[in-house]
Amino acid sequence: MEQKELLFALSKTMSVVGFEAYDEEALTALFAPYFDEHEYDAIGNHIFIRRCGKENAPRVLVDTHYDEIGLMVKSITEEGFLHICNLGGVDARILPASELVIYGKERIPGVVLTKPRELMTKEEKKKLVPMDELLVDIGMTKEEAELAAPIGTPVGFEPVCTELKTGYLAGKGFDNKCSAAAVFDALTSLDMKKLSCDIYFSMSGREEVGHRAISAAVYRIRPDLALVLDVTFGNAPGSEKICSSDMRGGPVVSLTATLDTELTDFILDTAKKHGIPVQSVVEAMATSTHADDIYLAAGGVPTALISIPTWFMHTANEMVHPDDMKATSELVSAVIMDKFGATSEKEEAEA
Amino acid sequence: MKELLKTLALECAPSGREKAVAKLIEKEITPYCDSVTYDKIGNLIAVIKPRKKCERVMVCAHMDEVGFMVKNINNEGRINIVLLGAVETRTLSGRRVRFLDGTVGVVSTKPIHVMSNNEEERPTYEDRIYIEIGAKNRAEAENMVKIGDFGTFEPKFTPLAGETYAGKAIGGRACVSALISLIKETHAAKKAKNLQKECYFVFSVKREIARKLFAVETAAFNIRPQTALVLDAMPVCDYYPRDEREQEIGAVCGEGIVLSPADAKTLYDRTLFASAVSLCEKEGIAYQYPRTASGEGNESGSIHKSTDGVRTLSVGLPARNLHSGAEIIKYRDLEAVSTFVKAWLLSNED
Repeated sequence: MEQKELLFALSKTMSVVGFEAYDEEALTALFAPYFDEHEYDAIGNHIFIRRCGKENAPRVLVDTHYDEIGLMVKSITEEGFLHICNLGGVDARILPASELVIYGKERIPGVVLTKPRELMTKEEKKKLVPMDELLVDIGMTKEEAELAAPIGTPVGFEPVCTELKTGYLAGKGFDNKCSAAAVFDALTSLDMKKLSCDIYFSMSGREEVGHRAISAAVYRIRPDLALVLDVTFGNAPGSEKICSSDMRGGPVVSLTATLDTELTDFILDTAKKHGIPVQSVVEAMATSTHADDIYLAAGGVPTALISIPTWFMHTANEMVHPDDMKATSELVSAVIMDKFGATSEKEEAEA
Repeated sequence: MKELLKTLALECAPSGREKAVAKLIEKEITPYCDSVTYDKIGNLIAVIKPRKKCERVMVCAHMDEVGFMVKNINNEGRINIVLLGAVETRTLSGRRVRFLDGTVGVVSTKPIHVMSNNEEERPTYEDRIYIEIGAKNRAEAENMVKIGDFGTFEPKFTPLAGETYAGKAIGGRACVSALISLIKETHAAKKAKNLQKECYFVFSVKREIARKLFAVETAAFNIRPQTALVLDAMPVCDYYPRDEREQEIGAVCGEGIVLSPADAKTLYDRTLFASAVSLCEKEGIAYQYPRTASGEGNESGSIHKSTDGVRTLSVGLPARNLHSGAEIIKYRDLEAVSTFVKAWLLSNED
């Protein structure tokens, strides 16, 4: 499957934070055939393992969080409309008239209502309607809604993926499924016989609500080295004041005091050696990704962060470019090969 | 009517570029009409009349929808737009839009992570957005999009539970489908020699961008109807908040056609209004009144003043989220509109 198709297939799977098991079957069907083992832990991490077959091989963790931002049914009005609350950082500004899916026993389509401007007061016109005042229309009565979409039901953006004429891809949950698609491609292309490491690919959960699950995955795996892949901000008007990166500029390596600087340098050198386009961004004291957590988990793990530039993060139309995904994939596989490949052949020759 | 509604709603016709929808309508109605013509500004006019001379009646619905035009393309290849019609600007952030040639873009929104607290509380306005198509620079963008190009919300047709439908332009197109269905009934009535009115059906252009004058005026001028009936979507807000100030919530989605005694542009003909109410009572058609003295008005505003004055009635189809990428209507309201217009035009009692 091409990276684009894989990304679109992953985007369709529902993984609203806290509900990472909802589409476990679909995820397993996509990934499991390419891995030796598959585990789903108690708090939302899917872990796919490839083994090199050598004893006591070092363990490499490659992490891309699988969960995505979403919403939850908070209450149901007399008229059968749903009140919603945030799961992760959904921006209330993108919600009016949005098409949603309510993941009850069945997938129910819904639309966020918006008050017509002509019926707003002057004050209302100036203000954003806060999320707890928004209503979702699902066309049901209160009684029907209580059965089909009871309180606590997760809600997500309608999964529609689009390829633009310029090659850009737009859709929901690309934070962080674009990384997953790139990593999948990298890891499944590796010839494990030539490697002297076991690879643990964690599609981890609960990232969007404050990185709650990743330490459990690290505890379980006890990796010797970790690569974290996430999305980062693509250059756009208004993002000047933060560090942002060029779209189509290749993967973004984070330069930071908080992660392993040697591994970071190794990644940059590897990119140079193989002619893979990379860019870097300075995130001095924190990257606000799983990398920060993994670095300090279970006694400490040398960790580095690679990110894919993205536009419109945390909306239903996050945009990424396949060239950036492809370069990311090449970089991940080159880093693993260069770190754990050559030595093993040498060792084998010596043996 | 459902299939037709879907086909019509998925087609794009921003004000000023209605041709795609006009062609669809023309194809659908031509077999049923005495004549189908366009006037000088693009209104589509269908005529069915009996042999003998009788009352001239005009029934109209608009074909166009809200949308946007490309105002500028900057050096980074980003596209600035100007909105056509009363687009609900707070529904734009992060949405997919489509240019008439099929090019898809996404309306910009600043990531929530980089917003200041002050910004977080403000809705997005037209002047702060652009459309991203992913072009590297102006030259690449200009291969796909030119200044002056037209676009709309991305076409979509989503059935919700309870025969509720959501999609862009669905309010307007529902009225168009009711009018098409009326044409077919009128044709049948003529065949059965029961038609006692000269019927002029107008599918009008540029309704959404009208400020003072509506483009349908030219049709009214040429037809010189004695009576006119205007079908249009009626924005309802039956979901927000029923506090003291808003005890009068006005029309409700799902509770029938909206008969307006008056709106911002028209004081409707009292006799027509009263007979419409009694027709609903007689035929058992669900009807309701709009919020008191609200409503920005519709094409009636031009029609009732045209030529030497036209007795005018307006029938509203309740729609939530009007002028957004996901307008919502209830099918039973559309059926009520359809039943009403048939009874109104084709019953021969006085």
